[in-house]
Order: sequence, then structure tokens, then C-alpha cells
Amino acid sequence: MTDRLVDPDPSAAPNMADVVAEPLWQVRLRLFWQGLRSGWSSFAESRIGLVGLGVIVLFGIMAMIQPILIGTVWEPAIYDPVLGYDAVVVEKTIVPDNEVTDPATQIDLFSARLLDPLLQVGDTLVVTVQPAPPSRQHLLGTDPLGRDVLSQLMFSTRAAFMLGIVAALVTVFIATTVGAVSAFFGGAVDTLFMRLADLIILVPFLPILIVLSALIDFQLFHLALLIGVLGGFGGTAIILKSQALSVSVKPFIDAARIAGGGHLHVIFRHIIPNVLPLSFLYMMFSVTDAISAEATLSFLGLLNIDMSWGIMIHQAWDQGYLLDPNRWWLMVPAGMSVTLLAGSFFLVGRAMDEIINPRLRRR
Amino acid sequence: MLKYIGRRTLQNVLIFIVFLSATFFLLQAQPGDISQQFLANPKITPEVREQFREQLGLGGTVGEQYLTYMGNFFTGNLGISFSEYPREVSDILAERLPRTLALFLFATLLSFGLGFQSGKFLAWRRGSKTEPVVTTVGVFFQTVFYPWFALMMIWAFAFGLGWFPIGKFLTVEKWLDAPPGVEANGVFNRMLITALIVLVGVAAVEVVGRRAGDRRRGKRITWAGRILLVGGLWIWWATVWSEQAPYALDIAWHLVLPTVTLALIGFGATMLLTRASMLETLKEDFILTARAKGVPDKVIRDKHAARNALLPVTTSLVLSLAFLIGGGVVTETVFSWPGMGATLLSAALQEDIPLTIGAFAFIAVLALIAHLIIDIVYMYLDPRIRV
Amino acid sequence: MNETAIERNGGVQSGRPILEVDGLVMHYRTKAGDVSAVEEVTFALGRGEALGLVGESGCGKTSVAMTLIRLLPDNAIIKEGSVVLDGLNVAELTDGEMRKHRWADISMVFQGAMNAWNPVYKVGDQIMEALEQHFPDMSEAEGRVRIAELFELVGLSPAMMDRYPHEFSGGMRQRAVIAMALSCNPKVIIADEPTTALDVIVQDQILKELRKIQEELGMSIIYISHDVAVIAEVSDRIGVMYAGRLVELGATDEVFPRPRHPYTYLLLSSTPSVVGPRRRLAPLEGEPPNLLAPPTGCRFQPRCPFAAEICASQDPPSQELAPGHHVACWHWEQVPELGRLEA
Ligand SMILES: Nc1ncnc2c1ncn2[C@@H]1O[C@H](COP(=O)(O)OP(=O)(O)OP(=O)(O)O)[C@@H](O)[C@H]1O
Ligand SMILES: [Mg+2]
Repeated sequence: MTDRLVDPDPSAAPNMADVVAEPLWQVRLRLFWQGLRSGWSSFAESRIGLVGLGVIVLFGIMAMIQPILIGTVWEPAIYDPVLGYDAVVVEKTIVPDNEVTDPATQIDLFSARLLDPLLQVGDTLVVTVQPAPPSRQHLLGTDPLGRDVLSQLMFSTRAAFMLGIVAALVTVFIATTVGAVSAFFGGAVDTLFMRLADLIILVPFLPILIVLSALIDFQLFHLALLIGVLGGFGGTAIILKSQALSVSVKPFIDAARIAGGGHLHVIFRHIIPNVLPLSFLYMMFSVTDAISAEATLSFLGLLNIDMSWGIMIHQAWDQGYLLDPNRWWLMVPAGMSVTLLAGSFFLVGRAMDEIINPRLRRR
Repeated sequence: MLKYIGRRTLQNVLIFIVFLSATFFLLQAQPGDISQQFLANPKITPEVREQFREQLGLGGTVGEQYLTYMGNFFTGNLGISFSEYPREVSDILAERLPRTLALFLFATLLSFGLGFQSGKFLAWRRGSKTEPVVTTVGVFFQTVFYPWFALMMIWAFAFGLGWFPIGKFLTVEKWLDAPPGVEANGVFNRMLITALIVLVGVAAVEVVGRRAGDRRRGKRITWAGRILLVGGLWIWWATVWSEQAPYALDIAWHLVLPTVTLALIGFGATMLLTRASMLETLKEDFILTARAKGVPDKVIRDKHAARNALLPVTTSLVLSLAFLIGGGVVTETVFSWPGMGATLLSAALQEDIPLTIGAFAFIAVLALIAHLIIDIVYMYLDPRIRV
Repeated sequence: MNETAIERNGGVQSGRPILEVDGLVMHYRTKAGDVSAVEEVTFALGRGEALGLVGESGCGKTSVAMTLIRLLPDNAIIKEGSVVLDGLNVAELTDGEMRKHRWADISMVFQGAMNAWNPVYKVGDQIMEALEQHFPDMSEAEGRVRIAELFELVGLSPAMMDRYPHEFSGGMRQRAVIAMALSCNPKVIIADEPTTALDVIVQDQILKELRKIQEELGMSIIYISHDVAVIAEVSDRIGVMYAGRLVELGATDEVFPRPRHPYTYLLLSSTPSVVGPRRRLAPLEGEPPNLLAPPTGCRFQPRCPFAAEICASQDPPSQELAPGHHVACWHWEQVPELGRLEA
């Protein structure tokens, strides 16, 4: 039986002694690797899942190369996402009032005379523009304060990843533990945690964060923790508990108990490993939630942080650039980024859902 | 049934008390006390502050303060707003509540109806070619960065196409020469009452029709009831409230875009879930039975499959409630719609604690009531848990 | 009700049969290839007759039934053959036409009828739905009277019609399903494993009642079961299916004591005494073939104790040994009497 596990080909099969000598962790590792491979091949069947993963990787690369670019090609004084400044200068021809056909190269006489009353129609004028449109130096233009939008975008990606992952890890750690513990012990412990989860589900999430931000000085890390805690004790705990419950009634759990496994041993060695795939799935959804929550809060101006996608949109909106289609680079890249990254984690989650949840698996 | 509703109400009241207590202790954890806010505002004199401390029982022990706080809350005494001094918090909230209620009600109904119907049709003609498109659209609405989406909606439909006003509650120029009896809140409350009458009326007529015994007679009763209801209200607006009608239209015009925008974020999730749930239901044996009985396809789709697919979708509405409320806050802010959400946000930004807590508490109450209503609707829909 | 005079003569009737199935071939298209679920099935069902179909799980019994009532999934294709129901070729009707005949002419008690009820509607209303569909002129009050009658017929209290399915026990649900199948006076009822999920006592009661009702009302019925004992109890004639084929067909009292197909023989010997003396139980070894790639020649040949070269190369034709007794086997003469096979 044992050698079957290893290799079906007798000529290549290691002899019994080798098999036994192979340390347990190696067997585990190999089994894990096999599981991962088969999981991957099912995942690769899902086109949306692959697209999602691709986008995530792309953003990951963006996040990583920004500090490298700052150190090499990008002058920090200009390209720093928060403190940088570049006065983009443009030459504009002065035309009579109301005859401006191309605002990128022309300026009307009235505006020009505000700068220098002696100017005439036909003169050229050198003006600094902020926000400046996309150019060679600034691929996505500059913001109203003369900072490079692309650099901001890339810098914010790192923050988004960090926030999303911290929040998701906290969520899943709490939810898995709570789920396993309440499934294993049942009774009062279960009731307590489940009522708490009901309560948290009912809490309007955003209003709570708004109230808290009025009371506390919110940093990104606090936010990640808070989102993680609320998520972990909330809906995710309920879902993971029902999964843990279906595991904890299986015979091998009883076997482990009879064999004298302590509570903790059974929970951590037997129940949690079986809940983990589902936990991992909900981690994806938690990342989505965390990224959107952060962006929304920064957009509303409630977070005390320097730069993020939400803040980029907040500033553009705050300074009245919303309704100017010529200034698209102020709002579109940041908004798209939030949507794309949050959506990608969601897509990956959905694709994993189809693998993990056999009920949804088709045919 | 009544017992169940009673129990749920009690539970919700308890949850609410827990909420309030939690906010109280958060406030306690703050340095200083809330009367120290807005020190720079010359209108709020030290006397006012003292009065305020008195009202909140800030002199006493923590226990006493807690009791005063809870007592004040349940007697409707929410204190005075700092940022809109000297208005009473309860007065501000009473003005804003109907606006949020309307936005929330219409958006929820619209998103649920739209999502459910499209999910139903998509499942029915389960072409695998449409699958990626449907998923993409559904996931887009579900995960799009909502504030940005709302801004884009304004940009496209209000600014670009000019179909709708760019945010706000009403067109000021139009209201300048309004007749003396016509005032924005009054008009709006009339509109909301009309909408509620229509909703409750249609549901009531439906139930009466069902109970009529004979199916055909029931159908006639239902239609007659609907026509009577809508016709009656129309005549009422055309005669008794004719002065208000054009102004009501102005507000309604301002309400359309925010409602649609808010509805769209809930739409994606509902559509995807309905579709999945419907596909699951179509595999059930009773669908086969219905087909064997010779029931037409359309009836099978609507009466058998969709009716059962509705159950999990309704349950999920509870979960999306919190999501929709969050969306409501953003919508009100982006569209400058002066409701509870916008009030909460601006109060929080200005650290106007009494108004923040008041607005938050009312939003929580709103959520709890919505939750209760969904529970009751679910009970009506699923005979297995009707008791 | 239309046919009051039923001539019964040892299970074989005179007059034109109510249902004639001729050379029916039905396949399921799947990604892995075609599943030949029904292959060359031919039989007739007389008026007022009860025909039993037996066979192991997966041999295509349900597929035959679904073809008769034309409720096949999208991937099913009827390749050949005809199904004539009271002079009407079912295979040629459009979906809309077929809908009118379903339930009114041919109704069905589904396998796993426990889940046949829509959980959100009252049981009576679900029967009413069938009545409304086929008797548009019937008023609601008349419909309720009819349902009350049906409930009494199947041994349920008429008051139950205003209850929801979850308030019924499994046996009650099954009875109600039978009431629903009877509601439009169908000419033919197909009962696909009508009692499998029930305990033996209830199963017995329901079968006896169904048999009684069928005889009283003069309907024709097709019983489907994998349980030979059930079939023996209720049917006039029996058809044995194996891997999509009807391998033996004949009067119950002819086939049971003296099966002519090796499969029938083994099936009967693996079942505790149905009729006749006690005998040794011989296990039926092996598994039914994968219908994606059925064996060449006779489909039973890989498991058959009498298999010879011809069995693997040529498909045995169906032969009529005695009037009404058909067998598809090259070596039917070698099949011994029940209980005589050694080792
Ligand atoms: N929709 C389908 N698509 C593909 N193959 C199918 C489909 N339905 C049934 N089959 C196959 O057709 C064969 C016959 O199935 P059928 O349900 O008719 O068997 P059965 O005799 O009724 O079995 P049971 O006693 O288990 O109900 C089986 O091999 C089954 O796998
Ligand atoms: Mg079957």
C-alpha cells in the first residue's frame, strides 16, 4: 500500500527502507505540492480567475518597481508621490477672448493680461500648468499640486496591498479560530460567538467607521486591524463555523479524540486544516472589502494618511476637477485601480469558490 | 407569527441598546468630555457648555452618566448640535430622515427588482456564451469603487448628457417664488407618504386578491384595487395638492440619478445570486413534476423556479443591507443629497459629537427595522418557517 | 373511466394496445461521447394492463419512462423508433402539443417523488394547477371536490389538501403524488420506483392501493423498479432491462417460474423467494457495463455464465418463444429452471 502512494512504476520505485526513511515533513510537503498542482489545474480552467490573477500580479509589479524607479530614473524631488513637485511649463499663444479652440496651446487675452497686462493677441506666454496633462516626463500627468500621478498611483498600490492583506489575514485568523472553536465546543461558546456575529452583520459598516474616525485618529494600520476584526467576528465566522461543523462530525475527529488528542490538538491539527481552504477563499473576499473600505474612507476624507487611491480621487473631487473631461487623469486612473484590484481579488475568490464548493462545481 | 415578530423586535431593541452602550463607552474613552468641542465657536458660550454638561449629567459617576445618556436617548432628547448651533439634533434628524428613507427605499426596491428579474431571465436561457459577459457585468457592479462610480454617473448623465441635475435636493431658482404654503420638507413628506401608500396598498390588494377564493375573481379584485389606488392618488395630487405638484416633480427629478446609482451597486450581487439560485432550483424534482403536469414554461419559470429561487436571495438581502447603507452615505455625499448619511459624515468631519451619535443611532435603527421587515417578508414567503 | 369493459386474459388483452413502443433508441450526448441509454426497446401496453420494468440501477428504466412522456433533458436525442399513445405518435408532437397530452393522457409518479412537491405551495393547489391546465372550464369549487375524492381514494384525509408539503410524512407525500397522477384521468400512468424511499409496510400498503385503484379505474400502468419482488406483486407482465435493452418480456406468471434469459435468471436467483419454493441465493457478480462504450455483441455477455463466441460478436435478436414471451439471447435453451444452477 505504501509504495503505491509513491510511484506506480516498479522499476523506478524506491525500496521500502527509503520510503520509511523519508521524513514525515517531506511526505507532507509532497502531498501539499500535489494538492496545490491539482488545485491549480482546476483553477486554470476558470478564465475569470486567471484574468483576476493576472491583474493582481500586474499591480504587484507596479507596487514593487515604484521605489526602484524613485531610486534610479525618477528624481525624488519631482517624483515623490507626496512631497514631489514639478512645474510643467508650457508655451501658449494668446488669442482674443472667447476664441480659444485648444486650451492646451492657447490662452485667452483676458486670462493672459491677469498675468501680465501688457500682453497682446499673438504673443506667446510661458505658463506653468498644474494639473498638467500626460507628457513624456509624466505619463499620467500631474495633480493639482504638481505631483506625478503615475508615481502616486504606484505608491498607493503598495499601501492597498498591505492594507488588504493585513485585514484579510486578521479576518481569516479570527474567523477560522472562532469558527473552529464554536463548532468544536458548541453550547454557550457557540451561542455567544454566533450572536456576536449576527450583531456585527447588522452594524452598518461604513457609518461605524465614520463615527470611529470622528473619535480616533485613524492610521492605515488601525483601519486594517479594525476591518479585520469586524470581518473576522462577523459573517465570515458564521460561514467558516458551518464548514468546521461539517468537518467536526466526521469519524476521524472522533478517532482523534478517542486516541487521546487534547482539545487544542484536535482543533488545530484536525479541524482547522480542513477548514483552511475555505478560509483562504474568504481571504480573497476580505481583501476586496478592505480595499474598497479604505478607498471609500479616504475618499470621504476620514483617514489621516498621505496618499492613497481614495485620496487621489478625494483631492480631484474636492478641488472641483470632477466635471472637467479634459482632466481625466486626475480621477480615472485611481478609480480604475481601486475597481480593478478589488475586482480581481473578487474574481479569484469566485474561481476558487467553484473549486472548493463542490455544490457549485458544474457537471 | 406575532410571537415571532415580537421576539425579533425585542432582540433588535436589545441589539440597539448594545450599540448605544458601545458608543457611550467609546465617548468615555475620549480625552476631556464632549462639551469641550467647538471651543472656537463664539456662539457656544461657556454658559451653554455648562448647560450642556448638566443635561448630559457629566458631573456624575460613569454609571450615572450612562443612565442619563440612555435616558436622554429614549426620551428623544439628543442634545444640541454644535456645528448647526443652536438647532436640536432631533430636529435636524427629523428633517433628514424622510430623505434618506426615500432614497434607501426606492434604491433597494429598484436594485432588488432589477437584479432579480435579470438573474431570472439569464438562468432561464442559460447560454454558456453569455456567461462570461454576465459574470463580468455582475462583478463590475459588485466591486466597482462606488464613490468613483457615482462621480462617473454624475459626469455622464448630469454633466455630459444633461438629463438630470448635478446633485442637490431641489432647484433653488424654481423654489424662490414658491407660493407661501409650499415648503420643501412638506412637499417631500407628501411625496414619501404617497409612495408608502402605493407600496402598502399594492401589497394589501395582492393579499386580498389571493384570499378571494376563486382565482379569476381574485385577479379582477387585484387589478381593480391597483387601478383605484393609483388613480385615486393621482386625482388627489391633481386637485388637493395641485399647488405642490410641480415642486414635487422638481424634487423627484433630483432623486432619480442618486436612486439609480445606489440601486446599481446592489444590482450586480442580486443578479449573480438569483442566477445561481435559479439554476440550482431548476434542477429540483418539482420542476420536472410541473413540466410533467403540462404547465407552460413561463409559469414554470415564474411560479415554480423563480418563486423558490427568491428565498436565498431574500436572505442575502440582510447581508447586503449594511453594504447598501454604506453606499447610501456615499451617494448622499456625492450627490449633495441632504439626508442622514451626509449629515453623519459632515458631523463626523466637524467632530460634532452629538449630531454624529444621533445620526448614527438613527441609521442603526433604520438598519434594524429594515432587517425586521426582511425577516417578516421571508416568513411570508417560506411556509416552512411560518409558525 | 372511458374504458369500462376490460377484458383480461392472463394478462394479455384483446384490442389495440393503449401504448406501443417500437424500436426505440435514445442516446444522451455528453462530452465523453454518446450514452446509449435506450437501445432497440419494443413493447406494447394493453388497456387496463400493469406492466413491470425491472433492471439494475442505471440500466435505462427511467430513460424509457422519460421518453414515453417526452420529458427528456436537452442533451437527449431520440434516434429511432416510435411511441404511439392511443393512436398518437408521441415522438412527432411539438412541445406545445405534447404539453396538452401530458398528465391528461399519460401521467407519471416520479422516482424520488418525495421531492416532487414545490415547498412553497399547498398540496391541494399544486394538484389544482394540473386540473386548471387540462380542464379550463372546471371551477375552483369543482376542483376542490375532485381533489377531495382523489385524497380519499389514496387514503388521505381531504383536509390535508390545504396543508404544505413539509407538513406531510414521506408516505403521505407519496400518496398525494399518486392522487396528483390520477387527477386528470390519464390513460397511462408510469410509476417510477413509487415506493423506494418508504419503509416496507407503507410500501406494501401503497402498492396494494395503487393496484386496486388501477383495476377499479381501468387504467394502464407501467411500474418501474429494481426490486423484482415489488414487480412480481403488482404487474401482469414483466419486462427485464439490461444496459439499455429489453432482454426479456412476458407474462409475470410465465417469466417468474421459468426465466429464459440468463440475466433474468440471475436477477431472480439473487432475490429471496418471490414465488414458488425457497431456493439458494446466487449472487449476481460483476457490474453493469459503462453505457458510453457498451460491449460488442450481447451486452450481458461479459457477465454471462453461458457466454460463447457468438455472444461477443453478434447481437442476439429478440425471439418470441411463446405467444407474448420475448427473449433476446443466443442460448436461452440452456437457462435452467430456477434454483437448479450449480456452482
Ligand atoms: N442527462 C443524462 N446525461 C447523460 N447520461 C445520462 C443522463 N441521464 C441518465 N444518463 C445515463 O443513462 C443511463 C440510464 O439512466 P437511467 O436513469 O435511465 O437509469 P435507471 O435504470 O432509471 O437507474 P435507477 O434504477 O438508478 O434509477 C445511466 O448510465 C445514466 O448514467
Ligand atoms: Mg431511474
